[in-house]
Amino acid sequence: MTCHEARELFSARFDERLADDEAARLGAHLAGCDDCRLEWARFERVVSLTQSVEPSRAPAGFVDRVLEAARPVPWPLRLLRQVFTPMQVKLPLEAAALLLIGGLAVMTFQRSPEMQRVARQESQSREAPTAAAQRPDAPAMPQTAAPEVPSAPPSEPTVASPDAPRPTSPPELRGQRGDAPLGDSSAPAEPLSATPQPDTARPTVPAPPSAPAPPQPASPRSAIARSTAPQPAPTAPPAPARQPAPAAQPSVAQERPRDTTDPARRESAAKTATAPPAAAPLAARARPPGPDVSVWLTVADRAAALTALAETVKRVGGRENARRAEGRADVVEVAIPRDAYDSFIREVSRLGGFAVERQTPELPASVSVSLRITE
Amino acid sequence: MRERPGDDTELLARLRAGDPRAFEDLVRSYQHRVFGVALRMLQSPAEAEDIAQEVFLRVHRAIGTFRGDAKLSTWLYGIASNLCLNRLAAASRTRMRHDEDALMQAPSDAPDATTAMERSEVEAALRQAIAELPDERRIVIVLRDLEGLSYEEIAQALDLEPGTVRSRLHRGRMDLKSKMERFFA
Repeated sequence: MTCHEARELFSARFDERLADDEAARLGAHLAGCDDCRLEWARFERVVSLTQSVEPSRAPAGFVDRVLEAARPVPWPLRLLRQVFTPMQVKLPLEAAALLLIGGLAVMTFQRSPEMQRVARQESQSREAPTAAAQRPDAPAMPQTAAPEVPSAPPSEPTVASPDAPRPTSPPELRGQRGDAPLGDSSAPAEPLSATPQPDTARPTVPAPPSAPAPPQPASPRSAIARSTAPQPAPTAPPAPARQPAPAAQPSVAQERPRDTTDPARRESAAKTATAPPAAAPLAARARPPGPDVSVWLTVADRAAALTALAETVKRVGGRENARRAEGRADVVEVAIPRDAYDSFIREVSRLGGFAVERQTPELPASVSVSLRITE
Repeated sequence: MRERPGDDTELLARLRAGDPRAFEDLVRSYQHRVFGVALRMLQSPAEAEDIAQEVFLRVHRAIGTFRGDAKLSTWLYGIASNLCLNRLAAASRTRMRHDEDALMQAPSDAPDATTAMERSEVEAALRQAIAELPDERRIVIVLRDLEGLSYEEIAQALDLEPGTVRSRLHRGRMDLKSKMERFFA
């Protein structure tokens, strides 16, 4: 037996796990080898010392803590622990996640015009039936008259002066109510097709509760704008100076001078009105872009409305210059003699929801009218 | 070396029967042994308590699945050993292994830390030497020389062959002898 072989058996010898013959051979080697005997002595001492190390003891209260931890936890507390603990880690993470989701939702909404439009339409569709149910038979008063009533004398028209302030309601709402003032020149951003219009020629949205003013003598255009109880059409055009112009919005203020300071356009329109029918399209093309009047018309039956419109145009002595489809709307361009303009507008307003979105202050002899018709 | 755990047959039967006092008896019987193994392996009383508590909670949850092929004590030592080795395998734990402060705090946190034997230089050197052993040798030394398990029990607890246990035990003891040479000059 070599020294190496002998030392490999030290552990087994210490634990008394050697077979008898191995134990005898190892004993014989140790008896004759001083180095191995010394090594065995050191080995035996170290192992004995290791086995004599004082055992460790669990800290006080350990049993109670284990029993407490082993106790069944009610499920709400378990759920809370799973959600919130470790609190210093999970709470900030959850808060950050909420902020991130909220921010993403807002950013997505702001950058998506479709979502904004749907939200607007949903809110309108909720409001419209409510308003209709509250006052189904109330006369349709122009909503924009409300802020003007206290300041305007009774004899003055309440709405539809060319200098009247622009209404703040969106074009879709104005289209539904059909009570927008004629002086409104704001262009609608979206067609009215998504806002169903009741199958009636007269708008039914009542005046707001804060404007209980009785019907007052109004300018011809205001009477037209109020589709219910139409006033007799006066022969004199409205005087812009009669109506104060409080807080006209910048866009209106910028747009109107452009129209009024364009004599070439008015002159061209006048020529168109007096020109023979064969020359009318050429004259219309010679005009600057943009009609004198832009009208939104929301109808229940678009085909019937187009037919009725054509008849009305013919009856008042006007003519249809163009007809085209833009999205879900039909746009009809007509030219109406100025003298017949008021009656034309009155007739058109009976076809459905009606709103004048733009009108030049001074109408030319032949008024070009653009009608955007939607269902 | 500790006293060998007695016969756990009756305790095991009570545990399986759902005796509410049986688990408390189990914890009281084995708390020091399980904590000792964890402390020798991890060198940190706080971590050792954490591991020991986890051992008993696992036993509490899994007592219904314990088949009884091994002794209850062997099962407990096996769970404790594996939890310690897994903890040591973690990178964070590896960085802390040679923390001298943690090593020296271990005996001072124990209730018996003030004994003369614990304070002796040889004892401290031996603890240091044990702590410096490779993990797979240290656990065998702890289970055999400190806890008194047999080779077979160690093999069962660590899921090793008995020959592997014998080899690791011998290598570990020889390592300790080498580290303690200066005390034998």
